[in-house]
Amino acid sequence: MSEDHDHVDADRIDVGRPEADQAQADQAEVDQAEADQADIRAALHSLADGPAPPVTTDVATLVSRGRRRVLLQRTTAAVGVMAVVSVVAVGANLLAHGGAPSAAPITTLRQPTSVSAPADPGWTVLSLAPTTRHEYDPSGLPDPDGTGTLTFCVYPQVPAQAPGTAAVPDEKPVVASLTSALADIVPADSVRLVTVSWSGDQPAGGAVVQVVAHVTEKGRTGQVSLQVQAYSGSALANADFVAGANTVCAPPQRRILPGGTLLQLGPVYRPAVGLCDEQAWAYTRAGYGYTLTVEGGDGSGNPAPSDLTDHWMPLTPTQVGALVQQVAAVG
Amino acid sequence: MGGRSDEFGEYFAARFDPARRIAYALCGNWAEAEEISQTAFVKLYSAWHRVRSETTDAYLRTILTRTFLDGRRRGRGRTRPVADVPDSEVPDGSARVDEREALLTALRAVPPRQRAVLVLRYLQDLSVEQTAAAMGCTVGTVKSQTARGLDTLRGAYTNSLPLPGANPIEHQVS
Repeated sequence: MSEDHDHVDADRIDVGRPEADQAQADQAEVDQAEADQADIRAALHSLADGPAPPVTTDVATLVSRGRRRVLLQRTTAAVGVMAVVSVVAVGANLLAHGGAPSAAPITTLRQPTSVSAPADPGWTVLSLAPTTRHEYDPSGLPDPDGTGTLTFCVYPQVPAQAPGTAAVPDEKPVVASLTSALADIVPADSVRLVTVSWSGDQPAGGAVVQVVAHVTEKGRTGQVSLQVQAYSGSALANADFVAGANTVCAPPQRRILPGGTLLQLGPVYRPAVGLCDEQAWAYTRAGYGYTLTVEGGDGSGNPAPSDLTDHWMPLTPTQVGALVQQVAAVG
Repeated sequence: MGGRSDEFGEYFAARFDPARRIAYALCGNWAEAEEISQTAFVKLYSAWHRVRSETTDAYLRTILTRTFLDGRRRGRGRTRPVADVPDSEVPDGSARVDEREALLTALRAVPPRQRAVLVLRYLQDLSVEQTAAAMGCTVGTVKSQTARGLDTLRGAYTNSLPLPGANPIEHQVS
């Protein structure tokens, strides 16, 4: 009875004050919507700001992938321009002579091919074929290899491993190891320690120690940087991941030291125009990964134009291999 | 690394984890969130010389969102195997974990574009116009996708919240 009575009253009010009721209903709807949105906002922030596994990405990997992307974009653009030029040239030839074009295509894309390179003593060239190998005619572009073609390769990608949770080694032995190892390879007075930095969230893993040194030879300065970080998973899985990020059409080399440390020496990255670099890695039994990067510039970002084409490196690949072996002896 | 790479390194150190968390809100999986963020930063690196510092965050937001949506368009969410990186969370109280799990479940029920709109609007607090710019659609589309997304999420969230005392087995032990 009570419900019926209320219902009748409500109907009567509806009939007598429809506009006021509508406004009230609208306001209630707006309030409800705002409350909903506040709830959603709070819930999404709770989700995004909550506990998270440690970041597994390091900036060196991103930069390496970024360079490959830039190279791919430039190559695509260059190939596109050359294709347009060749079409125009062929068209003009046809118009002028009315015959078939005689020029061969100036760009080629090949299927994957195996690449072999001589291994340095004590090292084994990794048996790793690229999924794609791109070649193009460098007409109008510098041809550093003198081979008539510029190439880059894309290798099978391997999932990244999470950083380890072990505490990163004390920076002092890392610095001492790098500087003394460099002094064994090049004249000691040509080596200068530039920066030592430490970053990362130590309790959650992922901490990184980075040491940067300059090596000067005959007025040219190159940079040697060393990153140390605990790794998880197997040494092999980590080495495979960085091998997959390689863009040079030559596979890395590997060697296993008697103590179980896995060393990997990447090929020299020699861009048509730009500074050369080479990387080497060491994964120790103690669970630490060492990434050594050697560059043909001082890291200032302002190389002289001649520096971009002479492909100078402060260390030879053999020296880079010896260096990574020595610094990894820290453990 | 050179000066340009140094700047990028600094930006990476400051912004990668926040970007990864936004990606997590979008996809609900830490391993995929890491990969989406990686892809976005690789794209950012390749455009680094063209991006002005004051617009870098907006540019990153745009490519992060579009990377997520591109992945969904290619059917990635349906075919991706179990994550390589364990999706473990640090325990911080079962009630909050339950709520987050319920929200994740609910978010997965929201279509990707609507989910992206909700994350941009309510997690990143963007205006309708900014959201439209990030997604590459019209303001009207953002408004309609927001309304639909809220409806879907509201319904799914209500359904996925665990009932008090319904799950823990230890409650059955006398």
